[in-house]
This record gives sequence, C-alpha cells and structure tokens, in this order.
Amino acid sequence: MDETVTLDEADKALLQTLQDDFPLTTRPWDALAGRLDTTVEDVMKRVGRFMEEGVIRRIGPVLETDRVGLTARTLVLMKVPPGRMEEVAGIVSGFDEVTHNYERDHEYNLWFTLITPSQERLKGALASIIDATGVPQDDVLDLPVTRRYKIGVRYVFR
Amino acid sequence: MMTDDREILLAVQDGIPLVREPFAEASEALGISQEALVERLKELMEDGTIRRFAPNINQRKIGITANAVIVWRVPEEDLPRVVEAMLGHHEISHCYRRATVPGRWEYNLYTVVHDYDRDSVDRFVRRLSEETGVEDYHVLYSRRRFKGTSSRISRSSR
Repeated sequence: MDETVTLDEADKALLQTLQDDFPLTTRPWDALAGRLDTTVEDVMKRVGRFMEEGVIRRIGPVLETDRVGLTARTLVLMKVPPGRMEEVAGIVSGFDEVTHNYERDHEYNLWFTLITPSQERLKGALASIIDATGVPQDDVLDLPVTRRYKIGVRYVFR
Repeated sequence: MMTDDREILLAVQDGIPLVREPFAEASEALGISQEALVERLKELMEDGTIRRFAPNINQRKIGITANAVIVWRVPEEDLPRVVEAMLGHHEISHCYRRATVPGRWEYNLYTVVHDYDRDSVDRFVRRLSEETGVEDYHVLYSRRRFKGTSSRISRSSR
C-alpha cells in the first residue's frame, strides 16, 4: 500500500518547488512551468500523477491552528490490549477532533493528537473517546503542549 | 479572523483541483473574483493565519519510511540550551514541550524526525544526545499510521 514511487529529476524539482514556494496566483501551474522551464501541460501531467500515485494527498493551506480558533490541543498515549489495536484505533480515528493517530513501539502503544476550539471541548472529546474505547483511565496519559518551538515538515527530495 | 475568511478557508482547505485555474470554482462559490481570492489568501499567509500553502506529501511514497518521535527528559534549567541545539538541526521537523505526569511520564521535550531509514535516525539521535548531554530519552518509531490529517476548520468550530 505504501510502495515507494520512482521519481525522476524533473519530478523532484517540481515537488521541491511545490513544497517550498508554491506560486499563489490564479494560474499556478503556468507559473511553475515558467519557473522550471517546462510546459504547463508537463507540470499538470506530473502533478496529476503525484496525486494518482498518492505522493501528494492534496495541495492547500496549512492553517495556523491558534489563529483559526483551534486553540486547545493535546497528545494522548494509550495502552491498548494486544488484539484490540485495530478496533480501538478505528474508534479513536472516528472522532473528528483527532488529527493524528499512530501505533508506536512502546508500552503506551497508541499515540493520538486532539485539537478543539476550547479546553472544555477538549476534555469532553477525550472523555468520550476513553468511554467509547473502554480503555481504563489509568492506561491513558493526557500530555498537552506547553510550548511549541518548531512545527513544519519540509522534505528534501532526493 | 473575519467571517469571510472562514468561508475562504472552508472553500480551499481540502485542496485545490488540478485545473488550469484552480481557484475559479471556489471564487465563484464565494462570489468574488479569482484575483480577490488569491490576494486574500496571500494576506492570510502574511498575517500568519495560513502557515504555508503547499502539498500534503505522503512521505512513505517517496521513501521516507522512518518516522520517529523522540521524547527527552531535560532538566528545567537546561531546556533553553538543549532546545537551541536541537533547532539547529534541519532533520528535526517538530519540537514541542509538553506537560509531564509525575511518577508516570517524566519526558518533557518532544522532537519529530523523518528520514529514509531507521539507521539514519538512530545515528542522528545518538549524535543529538552526545551534543546536548541529555541521556534520558526514548525513540518511538511509528508502526502503523491510522490517521494523519491537517487541522481543518468546520462551520461549527467557532
């Protein structure tokens, strides 16, 4: 399902520019073609392939959550009993407030993040999740962010 | 953020379509010109509401298969120095401080590292530990990704 896709040099150059400096104009693919010294057809064909192959999930805005009213966030660590991982992870992912949900190699084996507009809603959402999964409160750690120093993934396409 | 801005973000947050003028449909729905929409998006980037406008990349598809959270236990007085050292490394995409749960979870600093393989991550983390002098840490690789979405606003999340 997550087979690595082969990228040629032109693909890598295009991905790098898309990621680092997307041209916000009414005709962005034309602008990219101009910058990368190719045609708009070539740019659109490659972007279409990235989307089909799943290299790109979507192209859009990355929101600064604090500024759009999503101010309450936390990381939750949960000890999920062996054999219940898929079921519990499915329940957790089903909540809209959950943005990331990963199985990790640890005694606390499910790590998920929640984001909501208020602390009250955060507490409510977490209580509902714990209730829905049936995992005991003692097997859950609620670890809110107290300070963010850096956020933002940037890849070097090679 | 103005009400109109919420409408703008709602219209583009799930991604722009791969057509020659990808803002045409959204601008029509909003009842403004494409130029006005693009201009407002640029302003929202300048004021920090939009962190960046970029593709959401599936890192596994491009061969970046090692995704690790490293949790560190750093004495309070060492935090400024340690954080500064960590932020000097481009391999670190995220760096946060989180609440602890005394007696159960004492790690207070979190970093996220993405790389092409686990050996590279392990080597990098050992180097970080030596450089910062923080010896109490744990590397947590993701085993499975159940959910991973960007933060989205909704009509109800005010």
